[in-house]
Amino acid sequence: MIVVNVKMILDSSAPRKIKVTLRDGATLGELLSEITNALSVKLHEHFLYVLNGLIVDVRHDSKIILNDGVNIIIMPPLVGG
Amino acid sequence: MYGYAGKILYVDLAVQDYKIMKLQQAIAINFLGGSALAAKIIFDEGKMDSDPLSPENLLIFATGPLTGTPVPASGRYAVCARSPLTGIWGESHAGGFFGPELKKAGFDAIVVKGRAERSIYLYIRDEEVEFKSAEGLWGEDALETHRIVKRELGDSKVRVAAIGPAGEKLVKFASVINEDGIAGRTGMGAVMGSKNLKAIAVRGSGKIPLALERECLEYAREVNKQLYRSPAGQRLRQYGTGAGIVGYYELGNLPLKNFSIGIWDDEEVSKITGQQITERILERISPCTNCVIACKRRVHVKEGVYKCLRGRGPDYETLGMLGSNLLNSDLYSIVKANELCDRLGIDTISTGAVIAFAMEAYERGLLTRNDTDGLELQWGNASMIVRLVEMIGRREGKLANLLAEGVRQASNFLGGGSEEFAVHVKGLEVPAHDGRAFFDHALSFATMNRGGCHLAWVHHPARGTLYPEIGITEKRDRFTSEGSGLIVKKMQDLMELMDALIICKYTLSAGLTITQLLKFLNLTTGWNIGLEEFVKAGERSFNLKRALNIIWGMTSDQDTLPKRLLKPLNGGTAGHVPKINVMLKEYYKVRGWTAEGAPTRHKLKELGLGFILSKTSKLGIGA
Repeated sequence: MIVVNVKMILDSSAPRKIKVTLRDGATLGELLSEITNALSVKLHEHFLYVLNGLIVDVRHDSKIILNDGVNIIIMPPLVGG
Repeated sequence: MYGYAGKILYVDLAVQDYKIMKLQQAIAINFLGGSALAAKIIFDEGKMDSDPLSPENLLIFATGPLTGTPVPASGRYAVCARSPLTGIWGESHAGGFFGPELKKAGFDAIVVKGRAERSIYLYIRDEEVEFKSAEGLWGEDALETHRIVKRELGDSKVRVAAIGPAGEKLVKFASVINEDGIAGRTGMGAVMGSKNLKAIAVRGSGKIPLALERECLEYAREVNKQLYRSPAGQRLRQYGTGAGIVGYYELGNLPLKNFSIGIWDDEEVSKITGQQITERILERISPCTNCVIACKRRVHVKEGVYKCLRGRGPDYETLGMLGSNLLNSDLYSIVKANELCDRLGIDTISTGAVIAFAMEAYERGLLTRNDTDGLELQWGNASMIVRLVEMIGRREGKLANLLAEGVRQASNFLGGGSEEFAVHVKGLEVPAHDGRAFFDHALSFATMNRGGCHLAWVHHPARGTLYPEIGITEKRDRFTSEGSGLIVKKMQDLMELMDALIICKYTLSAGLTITQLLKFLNLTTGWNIGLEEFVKAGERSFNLKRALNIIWGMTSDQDTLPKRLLKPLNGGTAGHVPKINVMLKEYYKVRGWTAEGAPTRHKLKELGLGFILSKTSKLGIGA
């Protein structure tokens, strides 16, 4: 099993930090499904997904295999300059 | 000429006279308008060796072919001159209502030269120009000046662009303030002050002629729906540009403690966001002309030291520069400092940057209480920050007088290794974006014509906003230096177009495409410009400003980043640092410039800029 550190930045409340446990070899797509189900949060494609510091595109990168201990930040689209 | 008022107003303040000249169609087609048109006028008619604060320095207020038309977010105008802060190209843009009014009054641009013997303001009403005494206005703040001028003219609908005490006192980053719009950067307010010009009031009843009016209106309606519904548009409307604070913090883009640390407390960051503004103090949103995105806000503080304060809400840059960059998480103090900047007429970005510089100099012992008029320059000291903003805007005391010269001059004066933490490029203070978080931004900071400027928005491709019409079809890795030269060139040229047309750049965040932009230009003017020619106009403008900078003494060794931004940090940038020299080489190459960063003869001719060669034969341009 692997553990993924998830930080969700939501507009209406303080950032939410959770740990999600997944099977070995789990993909980014699986992680996002798990988050959607567990937290009842709708994750839009236009959100920003930052995997270990790099911005990924979930439309193309959902098959990325996750390692134990990776960090992912999920946030609404960036605005501000 | 469709899309244009077709005339330029030339004002000589020294003799209080004016003339009206026709805007030539060939100039309009090649340079469009806005800051590109201003650069062409300054090149052709400016005295190249004039000091920025001398009467000879031309000060230009310019609109573009889209200004005041039904095109979305087309309410902007540009103020341009040689900058007293940097000594090179200066320009700043503002929204609100002044630009469209100027065009309705019959002018695409105003070119101001000379210095009035006594302070005056201009009153322009449908091609009639009056020189009115501003002696009773001198010393008034910018917002009060708006009110007094309207009352004096007996017209509440007149639109006013004014300076505050900072412009009068030649603070090098003084701004020009109109109602709901600020031309903040590069010290255009100081140029205005040097001319004893307190304000320009305009009122127009004309109509801007559109080539295909009905089609333009229908298309604008359709695109407005698209912008209104877009996720970024909704977010900007709901929370303003400050919505980006937490996200940018996570990515290491938000400046902290004069760009010296990468991690702050999450809770502190969350106190100064657009969301906090909306939840706690939003009075109403305050859209510019024809804008459905509506990122601007009016706020009302209802508690604490600044209770009853009403005014313009701080935007992302202000929250960053007067907030996190000073480790100040007191939102109300940022609102107050922002209001003071507007009243005094100083740029919130440069103001935050010089205060951060002073705080670090104090921490390192380069400044002591003897130098600070008794102020304790401690990080996060909200009341001190508010006080220092006021002192800078009025040049009150020794410290404020030093800081009013900008970070570069302050560092030159202090010495003692302070250049290590003087965060500016070519004299323009770097805004609330850290080039270590988006490497393309780093290269753009190093090469933008006005210095440390974020407005090429080159981080868009890394954020996933793509521009297929100009070959930007894939999301960028934000930490790669490879290929940066080409991306930065393309984005800079695109943004030159936006600043020439003129249209707000947030339309791009909300999904406006280059194809749509071009369609708007053709519907407005009746031209039939193709994509290649359109994009080339942006490149032409960028190269013309570069040539002006070289004439004014800028050299390629200034195409670099402050030392502070080349040191690795923890946090969102995870120790990444751009390879700026490698990126620069590629950039010069794709720009068609020499290894010394000057446009070649071939490039100038290709862009229709052969006229530059006559003034620049000894400067390495046109090799």
